Amino acid sequence: MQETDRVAAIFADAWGLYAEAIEILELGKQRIAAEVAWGATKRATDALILARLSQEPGVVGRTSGALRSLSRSDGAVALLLDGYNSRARYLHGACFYLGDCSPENERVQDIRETADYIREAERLAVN
Amino acid sequence: MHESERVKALFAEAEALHAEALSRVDEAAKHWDRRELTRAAEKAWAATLQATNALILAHTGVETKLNVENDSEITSRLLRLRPKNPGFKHLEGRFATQSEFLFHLVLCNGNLDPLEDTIADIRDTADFIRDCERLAEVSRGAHAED
Repeated sequence: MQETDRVAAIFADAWGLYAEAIEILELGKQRIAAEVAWGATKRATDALILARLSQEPGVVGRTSGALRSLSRSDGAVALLLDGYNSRARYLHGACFYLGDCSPENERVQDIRETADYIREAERLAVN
Repeated sequence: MHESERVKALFAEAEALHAEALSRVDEAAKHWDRRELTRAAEKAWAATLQATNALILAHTGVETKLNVENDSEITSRLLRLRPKNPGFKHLEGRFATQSEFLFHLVLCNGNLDPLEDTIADIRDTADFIRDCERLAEVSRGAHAED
């Protein structure tokens, strides 16, 4: 598979996970929706890194490290880095792992706004 | 001590901790001294927590008992401020980034690589403190209206 096809495929995976997160959220299962939204965040970030650095990160530690490196030369990526770490911490760590999804309204907003995160990653992937 | 004086004192402490972090970074960078760089990261993380503490105090009137090894209480208080000002959401992300790289990666896992990025994270703590100070100014007015 060509690299550009692979980038598009990973972004499509991110959008698929996002759609699933919203469906789960509407069933009232916020904790599971948070984890699926986190998965969408991770995939969109992987696609961005593949597009910009020609490396697919794989495990989580490499994703945040590669995103940090990229942010040093691109201020827009720095904002995305904060969104990535915020989602890792609150959607994945606090809400899913620890079951602490409070404040509820804010976590629901974070799940829904994952669409903005994916769109921004797509925009930065073509820069 | 009056609350606004205490806020100023906490910010002064955060700045002093960061100044110490910077002097350790300068020393560490001369010889790529990893132990000194770890100490600098520890000071920068403590500065991050203290600036956040000052901000929360300015907005809520509550001072958090800090624990450099467990930031769950201060995080929880920070999250609850989000509805009051859009700036808090941005700061939440910045805080999560500081926590991920300075605390989890360097202090918990001992991972300083790449050294240039760790040095930049320590230096960038100054921006985080400044953002907290700006939001504390906004917050003081909001707190007075509560």
